Amino acid sequence: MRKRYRNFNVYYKGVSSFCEKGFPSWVDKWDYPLIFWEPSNEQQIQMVVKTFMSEKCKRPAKHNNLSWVAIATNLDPEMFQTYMSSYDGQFPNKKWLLQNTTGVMLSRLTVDGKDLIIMSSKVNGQQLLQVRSGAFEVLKELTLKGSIKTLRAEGDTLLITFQDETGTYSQVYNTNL
Amino acid sequence: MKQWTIVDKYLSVDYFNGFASYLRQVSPTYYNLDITSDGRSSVTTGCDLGFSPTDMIMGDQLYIVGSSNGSIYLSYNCTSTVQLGFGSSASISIGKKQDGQPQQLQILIADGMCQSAVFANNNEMNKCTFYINEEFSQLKSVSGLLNYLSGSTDDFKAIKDSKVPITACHSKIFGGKIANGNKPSPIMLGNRLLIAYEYLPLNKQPLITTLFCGASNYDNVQVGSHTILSWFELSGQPEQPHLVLQ
Repeated sequence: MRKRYRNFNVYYKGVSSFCEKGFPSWVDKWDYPLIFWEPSNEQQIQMVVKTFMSEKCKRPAKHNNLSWVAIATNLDPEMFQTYMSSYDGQFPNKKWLLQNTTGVMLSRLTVDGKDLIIMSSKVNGQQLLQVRSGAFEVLKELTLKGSIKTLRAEGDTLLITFQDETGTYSQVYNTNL
Repeated sequence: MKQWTIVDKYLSVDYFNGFASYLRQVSPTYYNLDITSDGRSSVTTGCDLGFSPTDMIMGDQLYIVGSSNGSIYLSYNCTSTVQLGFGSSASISIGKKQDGQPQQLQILIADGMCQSAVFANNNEMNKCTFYINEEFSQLKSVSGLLNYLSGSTDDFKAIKDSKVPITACHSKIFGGKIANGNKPSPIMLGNRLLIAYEYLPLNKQPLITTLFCGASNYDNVQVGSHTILSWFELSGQPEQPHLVLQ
């Protein structure tokens, strides 16, 4: 007798009623993600994920986190990641589009054992230096004179090389910037 | 805050253990590596690269990446050089030290290889050595295509044939196309790789980049200059929803 396979595969809008009434118990026997098909824009994709991850959703015991949710779509994966970048839950593969921003350089700073992101960029012609958390929130922002050529950090110390009308020079900063 | 004035003609900079390293060109193929802790005095060593450096980083030793004639190279401690692939420039990041583990190296290559393309996929040739086929020579270095290479420092130091580029077929080093764009800047935070790169509108990319090798289009960003920041999970159990392509 041939083994019969089946999967949980419903139209994306179905997430609301399944969350409200509960998912079929048989899905707990399957090691496959729950598939919601064809959300086709940012609003619809976020609706699926947010509805499923909300506290009110009666999620199956086994399929109770993001790793068990699948989106079936013809969208480019890059757009999917961009649409999910504003989702505040744990979601590692994210993408941000920074408008009117050029010359971005990144470096890693470690303060009290915690990794921070140092980001230099030009926004509308202004040279910015930002300290961002691992979750990419801006913790500190400075507007600098001159143009940053290189950015390197080691431990809690930052080496920035600038270029301006006086020439090229390096500055070493500690974590207080 | 300390301020140092340095020479203008340096090509790459790194900072490690309180020492800043500057690479300066002294002849077409020869460089000096100046290492300083105070910006005034420095120790200089010669660096025979044979390629133009575009980035460097210090880990268990000094790793320098750069390009020459459309190929990308990696040098260890200015002594040993291996070919990594094809492209116009490269940038490098290194993971933090963990007890007993070799550090992870991430290399981003601009104008890199297109290893998965229309027509290139649809035949019986060896995909691991596609670059030796004359008909696919235009796919070796494609404008606006970003490649990544990811592996441990041991994996990179174990490269045996210094003249064979690394493709997606390599047994230890992961590699491939990561996006379309320019000027990639990578850093590693834990197991995650964060990359910033300049966005290239679809209408600014050549057909070979888009039609043959694939491209994304962002709504409402056709005017101005933009940057894309991307997180990538390099290992471990993914916590994101799976994406099923129909």
